[in-house]
Amino acid sequence: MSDRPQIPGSDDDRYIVAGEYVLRLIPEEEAMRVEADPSMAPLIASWEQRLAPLLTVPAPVPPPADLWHRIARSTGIADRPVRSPRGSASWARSIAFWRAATAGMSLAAVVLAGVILSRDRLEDRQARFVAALAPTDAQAGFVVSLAADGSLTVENSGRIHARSGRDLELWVLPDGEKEPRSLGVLRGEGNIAIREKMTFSSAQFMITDEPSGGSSTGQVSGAILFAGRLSPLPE
Amino acid sequence: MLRIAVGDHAAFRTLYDQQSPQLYGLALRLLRQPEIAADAVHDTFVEIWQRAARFDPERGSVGAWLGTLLRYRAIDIHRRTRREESGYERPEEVDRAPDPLDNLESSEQGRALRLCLDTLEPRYREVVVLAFLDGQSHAELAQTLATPLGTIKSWVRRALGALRSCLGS
Repeated sequence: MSDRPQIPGSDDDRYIVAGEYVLRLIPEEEAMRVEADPSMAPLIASWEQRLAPLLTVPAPVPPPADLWHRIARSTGIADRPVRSPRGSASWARSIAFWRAATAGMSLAAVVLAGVILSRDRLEDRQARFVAALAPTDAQAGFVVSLAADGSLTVENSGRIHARSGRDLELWVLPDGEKEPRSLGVLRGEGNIAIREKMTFSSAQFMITDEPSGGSSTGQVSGAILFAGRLSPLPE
Repeated sequence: MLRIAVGDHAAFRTLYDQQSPQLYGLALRLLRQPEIAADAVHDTFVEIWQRAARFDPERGSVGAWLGTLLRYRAIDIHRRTRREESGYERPEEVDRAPDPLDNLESSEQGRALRLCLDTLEPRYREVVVLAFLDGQSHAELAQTLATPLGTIKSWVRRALGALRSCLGS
């Protein structure tokens, strides 16, 4: 962290600078220095939370009738009536590539972001469904495979680790259920087998940033880092 | 937000229906012009669609997160517009106190903030509210309050210091 620029001053001064940042009362250059200093982030969050009640002071006003349509067009959801996971374009391309790559093979293989699961690994678990859990802004990070017998395997294809003192926790939200349920924390690279057998083939998966050992509440408590939906593999 | 993060359109629409009137009201307060205010709400929802996964429930409600994103967006739009069109003046507010802070009483956090704002000297309270809810810059505050820029800057710092002591860290 020492190579990062630091906002100088006492704790009191830094709190004031964070407050001025939230009020948007500092010059752009200084605002960029504040953003580049990770130790300022909690001070900014603290001011945002304290002042947030002011956000509801203006009376609600119904927005223009066409606003939703504009948003739907801009996000591309107006043209996509079928529910699909975020990052679906790259996933769809991967599936297409996968289809081409595995044409004629008797068993499934998953190709995603350049990672090829070898045939013999898949023979054991006979994957029937896969979900690619893609991070917000990059290639796939995890591939979740669900076999015909309900066993679930997670491949950490992006070799992703939790931040120090934190754990990555896997959650499943089967269609029709309201609360995601924990499948445990993910540690290590390569293939991670999940003990619990799955009884569904239609679900979303998420990986969240949680305290060491996993969420203490049994519910998602940290930021969602990866998310994806199961898709059937072609026969 | 979990559902939106994985691309659930219906959940996104529900969020829009629930939150857009409050956000549009806030955008109108910050930007004064219906068209530009609608642009700010539009941009905010597009951002949420792309970044729902970054929502951290530990850091407050969904409404507060959206309001915070919208507020930053609106202030950016206002300042960019002002830079691009020299001579652009934001239309004057008809009523200088259109939204009483009484609305703050609706939550515990809001009541605490209200109590602390009430303990501030009126001019300190005014710079905080005008900067936060009207997106005024130092120069605009100086103009609105007919006070020299340097004085405004020190009022802001004192107001923040007093708020911090009152609200606790």
